[in-house]
Amino acid sequence: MKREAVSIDFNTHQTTYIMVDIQNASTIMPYLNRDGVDSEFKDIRSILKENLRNKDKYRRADFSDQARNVFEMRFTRNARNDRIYCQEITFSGKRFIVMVELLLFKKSQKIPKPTRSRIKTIGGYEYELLF
Amino acid sequence: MNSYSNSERLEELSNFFISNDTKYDLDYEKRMVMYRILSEVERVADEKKLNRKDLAALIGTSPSYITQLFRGTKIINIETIAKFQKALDITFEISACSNESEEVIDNLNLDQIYENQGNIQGFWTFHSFPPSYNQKENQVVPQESEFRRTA
Repeated sequence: MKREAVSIDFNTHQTTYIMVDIQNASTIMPYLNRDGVDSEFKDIRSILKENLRNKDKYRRADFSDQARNVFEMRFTRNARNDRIYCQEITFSGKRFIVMVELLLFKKSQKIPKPTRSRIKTIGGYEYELLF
Repeated sequence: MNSYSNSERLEELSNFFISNDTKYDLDYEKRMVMYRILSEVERVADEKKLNRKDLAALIGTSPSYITQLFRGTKIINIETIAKFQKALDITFEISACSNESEEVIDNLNLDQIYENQGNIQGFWTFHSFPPSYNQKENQVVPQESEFRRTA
């Protein structure tokens, strides 16, 4: 079944859209509103909207061909080490970034097996985009 | 678990950040200036196949300092910018534009972003939101006819 994602932000040129998976929004949105996380997320949104490079804030969760379209937002301030896994795709010259799943307190440098499995699953999600 | 399936909640999501973004925040502005510079540093370093350790060695600092800059926990100084220029054999060009003008920054270069990305999985469709949902002013909603799969 197709999942739904809603647009929460976009850049002035409307070439980059930041969206959230509706099914997981009740977990993701309160997290993003937390003290400290909100300012970090504001940085990440601006980096994405200006299409800047910053692997410490946003990078591909690059471990498998099955997850080439999965990226992670990294929240690392205040001894935090959290991730939001995102699915990203482009078409018609536009870039759509859907925040899909929140992972709190990443501990090891290697991606654990259950997380790898989740990332592959996220990579296979199909979306209907709501604007 | 709360559901965000109704239009009021979706509108709430959409408005969630707009109020936050209107407040002037000097620390945020400082970080954004730095991120624009670091984005170019990262691009050139990638082209030259330099990792963080190499970059740190080239400018005579520690890899953890470079990480702190990219994470936004420390703010870059002019001296470090000058060191990056020397180390990478580049010159940062400065240009300014009014925030009111249409010529705002948009560095979207999909070829660069998706370099070596390969096939993209997933099937995407567009749907306009029900009329009850207040669409943002001037927002262009891509039409279903615009859809094409990039993979």
